[in-house]
Amino acid sequence: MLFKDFFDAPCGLRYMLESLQLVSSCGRSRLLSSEMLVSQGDIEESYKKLRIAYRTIYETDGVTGSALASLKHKLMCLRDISGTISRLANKVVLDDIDLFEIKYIALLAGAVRGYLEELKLGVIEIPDLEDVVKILDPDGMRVESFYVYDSYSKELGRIRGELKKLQGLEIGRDKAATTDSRITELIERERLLERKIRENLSDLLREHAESIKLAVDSLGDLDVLLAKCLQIKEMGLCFPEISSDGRTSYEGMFHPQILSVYEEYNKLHADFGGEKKRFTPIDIEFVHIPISIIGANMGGKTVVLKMLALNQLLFQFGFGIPAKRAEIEIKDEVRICIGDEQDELSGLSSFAGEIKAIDGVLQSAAQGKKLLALIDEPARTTNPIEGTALVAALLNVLKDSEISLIITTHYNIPGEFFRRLRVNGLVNGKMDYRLGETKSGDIPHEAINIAKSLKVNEQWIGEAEKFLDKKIID
Amino acid sequence: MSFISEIQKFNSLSIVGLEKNTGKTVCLNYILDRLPSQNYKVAVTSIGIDGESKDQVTGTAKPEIILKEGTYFSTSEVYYSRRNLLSELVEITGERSSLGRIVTAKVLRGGKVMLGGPSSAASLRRWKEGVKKFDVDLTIIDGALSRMSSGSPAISESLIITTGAAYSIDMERLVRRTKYVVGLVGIDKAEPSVRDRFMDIERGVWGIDLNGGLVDFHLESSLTVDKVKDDITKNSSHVFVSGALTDRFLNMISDSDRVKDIVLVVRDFTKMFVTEEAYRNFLRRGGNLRVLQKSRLIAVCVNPVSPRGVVLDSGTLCGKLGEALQLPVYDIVKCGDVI
Repeated sequence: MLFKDFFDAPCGLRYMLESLQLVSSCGRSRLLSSEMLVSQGDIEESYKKLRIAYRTIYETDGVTGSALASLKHKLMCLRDISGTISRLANKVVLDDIDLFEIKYIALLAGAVRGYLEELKLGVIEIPDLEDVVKILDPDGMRVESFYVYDSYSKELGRIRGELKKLQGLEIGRDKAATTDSRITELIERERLLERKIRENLSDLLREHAESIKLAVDSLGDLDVLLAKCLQIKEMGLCFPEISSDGRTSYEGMFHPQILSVYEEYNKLHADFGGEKKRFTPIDIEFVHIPISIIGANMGGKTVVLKMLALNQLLFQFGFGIPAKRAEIEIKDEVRICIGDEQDELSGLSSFAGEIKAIDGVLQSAAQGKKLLALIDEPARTTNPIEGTALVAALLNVLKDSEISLIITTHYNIPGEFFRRLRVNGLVNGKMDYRLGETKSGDIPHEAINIAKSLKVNEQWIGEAEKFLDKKIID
Repeated sequence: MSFISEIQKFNSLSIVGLEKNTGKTVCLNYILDRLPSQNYKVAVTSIGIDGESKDQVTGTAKPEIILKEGTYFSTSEVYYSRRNLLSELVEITGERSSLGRIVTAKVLRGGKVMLGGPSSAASLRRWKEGVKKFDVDLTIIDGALSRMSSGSPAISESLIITTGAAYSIDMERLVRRTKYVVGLVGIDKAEPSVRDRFMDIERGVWGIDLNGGLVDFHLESSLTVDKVKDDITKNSSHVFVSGALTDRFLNMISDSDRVKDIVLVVRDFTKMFVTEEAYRNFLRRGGNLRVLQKSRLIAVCVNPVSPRGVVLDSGTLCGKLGEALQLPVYDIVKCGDVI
């Protein structure tokens, strides 16, 4: 799966991408089209690079901000020249614009290599394109411009010299009658010669097509790496450990997007002296035993699932992790089923959509894949009797699999074959979002209290309480 | 004083035609040819898809732009590949057009090229800022048909208007219509204290009340004026329309008892989307109109030949226009050499 396949997953990956301060479109497209890392080696390698880069930039004395700023400025000038590269590979004769693009990138790569050396940042290797520069800069000017230079051919220089002289005569208005035809003839010869030179240049450059492409890609990767480092610093993210015993554990896990919404709210309400909204960091640890998270409405059950989904994806795309500490197991797949799976266009109702999604999880499980499956309130759109049966059965079917299944539910699921985590819930009228282990299957009865706290229609809530009393007496 | 040396007093120039075939390109070539080439750098572009070798609308022949050595120009990729001059590509800008990316190059040996540059006011502004790095002394924008926005003082400090038989073959009408547009360009600037208060406002309709306080009338545009008519006219000394000024808004001010006591302010003449009749009525009623920014109108150039072949008498036309406008008026095709 590619990064872009998860882009719209309801866990906040889009927010992480949007807050990543990429400076080039190449960086963005490299990230979007990157494959989810599933091998230990790849993930180790990616975090090794990230750690070194982070340390070099933010934890080394004497690293000058100016070299870093110049490096970023250079990356800002990075353009997508994939069109030019594919024309080159397809043996098309390049025009001046293509040649300019290649020269521009070759000079840019050289400059970036210089800055990386200055910063002692060797984690990303940018190919040396000096040979390409030599081809396109015959006069050694190192200027970001291009035309078919006179020095490519002695004859070209001669033709242009004569043309200039003749055009001077034209302006002086003392030209002979033959001048016009001579000019036309020379321009024609110049054109043919220029074409030949462009053909030669294209042939010469074709040998370097691979390294040019590699240079553009690695410049894009460098942009991504620097942006990830900055994100770690700005959001206070951590470098995760790779779990080797099947355990995944988070300490002080948070959700950057929700945190930023709170901060925004607090900023807006700072003048009114009201109570500040605080995000409660969550600790959680799990292996492969299915987990059911129960607890009050508005207790943050879904947010826990979203954080788990987000962190797993960030981990497998080599980002900093929003937690104080994280040890994460590598998964083959991440399945997220949060929100409404309804798809009117293909004729699926909410229930059918969800059941299909869960079936997908079971299929992957049957293939023996390591999976993180996060399902928010499965079977919630049907009657509680059958719903409870479906959820209990799901937990039961997966109890011995390699899958880490975590669900939230309001149903009372009996049995001891899965773990129950319970949101602490309302304590003295305040919500405690932390999770605690609980043995009992009894789900909390706080819905009416919470509805009351939302100050909705009193008659409605009053009637509901009467119904509840009556049912209990009955 | 020749108008070429007048142009050199400014860093930017737009040439705007009141109609197609009013000789805008001839005028541009005339200026490019006569500007000094020693120690004086020019960058030129054209808005939209102008610069075609054949006129898109009428099919009449249209001269190409002739550039001298040392001139910078920006055009689309497609036109760049068809250039008939020797040039060094110096930049691929971030702007795009229907004919590919906009590139900038420096002329190494003079010749002809078709220009098709950025097409929106915002991208033209970016272009103007972008070519500064080549140390140019003057930027010239060849404005497009009925795209007065390219003549906005926000883009260019100075302006040349071209008009002619293509605009109207009735000489009286031609003079009157041109005078109207020239009159709009010539609207005086508001006093500095008023300009300062309104300059940074980008949306809505605002006013200064009789106590000198700034008032937001909470209008999205002057189109939705009926809602707060009285608020606007009763207590204001100045009313600022940040977007387009329409007939409806102008008539509302004209019809007010306080028309003579209110100064109506618009950003610049390109925001005047009013008919000549409404504007005249406003002036007759004693209305006051001011702008925040004003371009310097350097000259009016005329082309007495209409695309259908009607030829007006150049001398009479220049004379009548000059008298009506109190500005230098030139027929560049005919009397170019004597200017």
